[in-house]
Amino acid sequence: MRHGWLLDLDAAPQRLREHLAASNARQLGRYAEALWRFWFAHLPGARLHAAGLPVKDALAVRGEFDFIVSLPGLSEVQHLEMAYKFYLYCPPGDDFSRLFGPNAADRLDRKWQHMLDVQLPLSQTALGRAALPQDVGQVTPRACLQGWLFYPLATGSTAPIAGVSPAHWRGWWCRSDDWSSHGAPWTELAGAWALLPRRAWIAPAAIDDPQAMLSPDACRTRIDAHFAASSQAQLVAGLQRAPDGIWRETVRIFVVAPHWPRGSAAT
Amino acid sequence: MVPMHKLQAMVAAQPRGTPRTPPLWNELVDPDVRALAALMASPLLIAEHAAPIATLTDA
Repeated sequence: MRHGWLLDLDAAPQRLREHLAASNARQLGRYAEALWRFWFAHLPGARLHAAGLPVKDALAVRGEFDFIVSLPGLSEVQHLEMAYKFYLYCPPGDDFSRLFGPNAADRLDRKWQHMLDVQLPLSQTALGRAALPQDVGQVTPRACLQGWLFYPLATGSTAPIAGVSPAHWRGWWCRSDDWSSHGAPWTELAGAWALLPRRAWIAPAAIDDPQAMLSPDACRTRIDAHFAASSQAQLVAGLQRAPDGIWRETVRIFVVAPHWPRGSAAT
Repeated sequence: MVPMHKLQAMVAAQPRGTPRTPPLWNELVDPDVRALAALMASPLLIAEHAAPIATLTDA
């Protein structure tokens, strides 16, 4: 069902484009939120009761429900708190506190605890229930934390992290000074490279323009130029040419500043 | 630095989760639709929480 729905949407994506334009979804988090909203609003069998619903105490906003939605196959109305994240595993240790966002102030343990302790319980409070749409009684709260985890390329360590689903999607990360050194291992991981803009971070890359492909040297130059002016992490995809002529991602690497994750209160 | 044989093993071992069917996004062209498909198919990160939303793999 979803397969056909997505193929139809791909053939005529205008309504999704209009929805995203109206959602003002420039930040990656807002972009993911807008995609979910579109999905819940259009998926056959689903019913979106509310999205971004504020919970107010008199005039003060005490919180917000991401989504109140009925989904096919689930009898109860769902209160979904959603997040799509990119975390980089930074040993030592094997717990959630060693998983940092590209902005190291963001950490998996803090995010998960906030979802469990603050966001989910809200719909079970009197204040939260009062904010629900009139046609919704009880809701089942669920946290949906999705995304990618990245492991240190310098050591090749992919040791299991306690509590993390083994099915998660993954890539590698390295610091920009390691990336720039000659003989760096990443150059052997793929035939061509591309820097991914933020909105291309969610799906594995597929690029049909050969001119957009970078050689290892050209990619190194682009990364060097970026970090000479900025400390923002860059996501780089390694690609191989598929039989259909499309360059498809086979590996992805986050390149971070030389001192990451130091320099933030998170460490 | 990581030795070459280990690098090759790293590439081979780089799974995209454990989809039971070929990734649908390889059939999709529009970047936003591809992002939507990937978002729908992404496994949850936390092991203790069963997926509340059916993924593409059971479509």
